Amino acid sequence: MDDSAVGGFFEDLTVLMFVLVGVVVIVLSGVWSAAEAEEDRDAVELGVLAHDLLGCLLIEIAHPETMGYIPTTGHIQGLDLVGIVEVALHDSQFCVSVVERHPEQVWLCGATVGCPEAAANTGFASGFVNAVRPDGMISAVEVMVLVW
Amino acid sequence: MCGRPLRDDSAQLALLDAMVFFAAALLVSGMMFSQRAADGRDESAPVGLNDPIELLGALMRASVGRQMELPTDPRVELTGYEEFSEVLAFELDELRSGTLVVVFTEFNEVLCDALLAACTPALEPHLVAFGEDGSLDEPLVGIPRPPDIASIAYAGSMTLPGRSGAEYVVVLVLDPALPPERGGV
Repeated sequence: MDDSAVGGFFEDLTVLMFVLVGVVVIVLSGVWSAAEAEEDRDAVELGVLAHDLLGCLLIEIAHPETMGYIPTTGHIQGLDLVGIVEVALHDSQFCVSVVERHPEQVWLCGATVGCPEAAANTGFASGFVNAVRPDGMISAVEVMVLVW
Repeated sequence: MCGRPLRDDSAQLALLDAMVFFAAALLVSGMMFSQRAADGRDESAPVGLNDPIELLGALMRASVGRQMELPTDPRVELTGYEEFSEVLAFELDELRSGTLVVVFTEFNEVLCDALLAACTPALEPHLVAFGEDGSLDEPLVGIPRPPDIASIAYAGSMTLPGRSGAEYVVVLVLDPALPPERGGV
């Protein structure tokens, strides 16, 4: 019996090794997939949040309910960006930047709440509005929102 | 090893079962990896990149921003305060009546610069315009050039009324930018 027990043990060890490695492979790939899915879900949620915040900002800037209204660049620079965004935002942090893209590349205004270096996931959205410059030309202005 | 001959068949069977289980485990994890890879290849518009309709609308409403003289017959002077849509409509009217596109080179360059300035570097913009009654294979103008039909692109369009009463379809195509060594911007 002793001999067969020793022989059986070593035969079973190979079987055990295959089974254990198989289980480890399945568990590890399952854990990795779940972590990736969680990260994707966070990124999608942040993207949706960034779009919502952009919508709030564009409504404040361009007043889409008023047909043909074009804001001035001065009006945009005078906006309380943090106040507008914080109404829709709870515990997330953000950075808003408003840049004139044409006729000139000019940074108009911006606001940051929080520390972007600590961000693991981010959501980004950008939109365009027109604005009247002090010289009377109509510019194309990009509003960018980054949330983390 | 007097027990070996008695256990050989069942041991080999157990080892075979274990190998089959291992192969199945590899297959399952391989399927999980390929599923994740497929999820990662999202073919919808990249999140956060420019919306072509919004970008086109804002640019067409913006001022040209530069004084210039168009060598048409008769010559036309632009003050820079005209909207892109007005001048583009004029250009399309002229092109339909036989004027060469080279006459509008300076204006097209300004429009191209505005497109490149407004568009994220990850995308390469192409603005094409068609006569409403014309063929979609032959654009009246392509700025800086007509897009590659085969590449993945995001596009938005608007209708532009010409001064002659004709209507034009202006399409902004945003192509994923090619690296410079492959001819990208």
